[in-house]
Amino acid sequence: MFKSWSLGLRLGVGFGAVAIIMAIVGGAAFNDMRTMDRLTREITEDAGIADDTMEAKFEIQTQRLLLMEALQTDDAAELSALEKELTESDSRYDELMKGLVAKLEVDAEGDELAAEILPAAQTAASTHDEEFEPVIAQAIQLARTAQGANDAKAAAQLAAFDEKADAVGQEIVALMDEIETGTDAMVDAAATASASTAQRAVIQSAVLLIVGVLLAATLAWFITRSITRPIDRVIAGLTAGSEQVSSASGQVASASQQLAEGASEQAANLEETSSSLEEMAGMTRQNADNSRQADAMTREAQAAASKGVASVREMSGAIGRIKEASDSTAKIIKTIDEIAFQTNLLALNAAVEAARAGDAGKGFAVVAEEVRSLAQRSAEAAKNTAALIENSQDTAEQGVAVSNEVAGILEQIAGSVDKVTQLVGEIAAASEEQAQGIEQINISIAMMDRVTQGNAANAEESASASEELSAQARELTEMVGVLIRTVRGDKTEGVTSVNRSQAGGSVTGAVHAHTDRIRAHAAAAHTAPVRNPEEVIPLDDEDLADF
Amino acid sequence: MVASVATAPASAGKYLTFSLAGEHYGLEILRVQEIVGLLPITRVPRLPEFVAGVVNLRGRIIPVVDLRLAFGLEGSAMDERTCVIVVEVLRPGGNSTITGVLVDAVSDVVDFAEETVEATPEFSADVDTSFIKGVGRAEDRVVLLLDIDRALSNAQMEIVERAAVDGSSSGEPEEGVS
Repeated sequence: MFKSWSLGLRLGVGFGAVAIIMAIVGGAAFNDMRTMDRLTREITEDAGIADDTMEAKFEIQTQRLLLMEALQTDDAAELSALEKELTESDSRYDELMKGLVAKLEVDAEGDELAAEILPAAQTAASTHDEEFEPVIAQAIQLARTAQGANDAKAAAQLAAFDEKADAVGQEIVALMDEIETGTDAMVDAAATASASTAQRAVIQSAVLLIVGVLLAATLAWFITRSITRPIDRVIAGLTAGSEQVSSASGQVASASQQLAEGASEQAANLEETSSSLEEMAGMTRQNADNSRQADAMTREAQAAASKGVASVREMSGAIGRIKEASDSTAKIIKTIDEIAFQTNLLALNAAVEAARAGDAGKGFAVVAEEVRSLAQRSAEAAKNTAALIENSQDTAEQGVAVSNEVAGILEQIAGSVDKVTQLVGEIAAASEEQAQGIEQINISIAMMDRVTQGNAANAEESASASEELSAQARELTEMVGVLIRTVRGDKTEGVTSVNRSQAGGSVTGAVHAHTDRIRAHAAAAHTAPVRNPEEVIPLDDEDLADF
Repeated sequence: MVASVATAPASAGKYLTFSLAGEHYGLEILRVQEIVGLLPITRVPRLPEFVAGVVNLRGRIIPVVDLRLAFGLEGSAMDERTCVIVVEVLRPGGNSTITGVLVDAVSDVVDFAEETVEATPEFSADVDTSFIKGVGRAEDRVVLLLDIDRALSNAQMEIVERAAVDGSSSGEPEEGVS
């Protein structure tokens, strides 16, 4: 049940218990003190009453003496002065008695002794007013009237008055003595009560103090134990936690450094990638330009091929006509050959006839022979011509075949050029898409650059966070030390130096350096000069003229 | 070239040379009537193959012998060089028959001197080579000099004669075709 209480409740209960003990002890002492105080004041009051009584007695004696002087004097002026003094003394007495009676009336409510002497005081006051004063006043009056006239009667009367005043004065003085005696008794009773109260208070205070100290000590021991034990556990936990936090902050610091290094490398790679992309973009633009030029050239080549096909067809026709002419020539040659053959036959027949004619046909035989040889020569010439014509026919046929072949090839070329045009168009489109893709890659790289910069910034932040964490871990350790000192005192100083060597400052510096490098990279990447594609691919009109 | 027929020996003299299946043959020029180009040959049914048919030579119907087939060679391939030599064949009875001989081509009229003519070599007793009068040499060629009277056997000649008779008796005389 005690363990489930909160610390405030425990302390409250403990201190409350101590306070109650203190209240009890103090209350008892206070009570006794008050009693003693009251008794002391009673003594003082009683002493005051005694003084007043004494003064009143003195006034009474004074009035008696003044009256005696006044009765004996003859001087009216002196009498008046004495009367005045009497009146003054009378008023002082009245005042004193009035205060005395008032005090006694107050005391009489709780004090029997005061109650006892109160009637004496009242009687003394009233006796003075009712009896003493009239006597004095009558005596003074008489003395004034009798002045200067040695009147015996008056002297007797005056002596009577003096005696009466003396008697009443004695009576009042006796009452005053009675009051003094009562007051002394009251003082004695108060002093006795005060002494007994003081003794009782001493004993009571000692007992209560001992008991209270023991109770408070026991409570303090229990409460301290119940507080320090959990705090010790908390200290152990906090020490372990601060160690863990310290090592974690070290890990975070190294991780952030690695991150910063990675970001730095990434930034360098991004820079390289960016420049490569720039080159690629230049090449792609060059490709697009070249493909457009190639497109135009292929169109020209297509037109040229078409013209070539038409020309070859014309040539083919021309060769065909040559062949036809050769055929006609061959027919003519054949006719000539036939004629030569017939002539030969005729010559042979002539030779036969000449042979039949015998000697007479000899000349004719010679003619026939000549004719035959002419015929043979013309046949020979026809044969040669025929061979030549045949040759030219063959050549013409070959020409036709070749020109057909050439036409086919040219058509193939035209077809290929068509395909090339298509391909070049596709290449141009692909280059365009490539350029767009490169643009997108550029955007992505810019984003990656931003991300890398963000990473660097995060690394910096996490480095500073780890530094802060480390500082907080140190602070925590110091706080734990303070707590330990608070709980156990200064004897456990060594615990506070836990992992103080784990510092994050150098890491932050390294991360800063990486971040600066990354910013430099980023600046270099952004301000990288746009290279002319011609520098990357030197391709000029001379190269293109080769097409 | 100019040589007297009278003084020349039997195998020497002027010959009309022609080619037949790659070989060169010679015919005694005095037996040659005429040389004509290839005429339309009318084939006569039922006659042996070596008789190519009959032709109308300027109104005269004469039989034509395919000498290749008559010599047991391959049948001739008719072309523009193919000629018909019209010869007079003497029969043993003193008659003579005008016959056309189909040859691959006529070549020349050659005058064989006596020293350029060799006797026909004897190959075997079984083979009759009497239709070759001799072997003439002309430049680098060898010319077989035919005895046209014996070139065809009697049986063959009889068939030819009959064809000639039939042809001349049945055929109407027409204007010659060159």
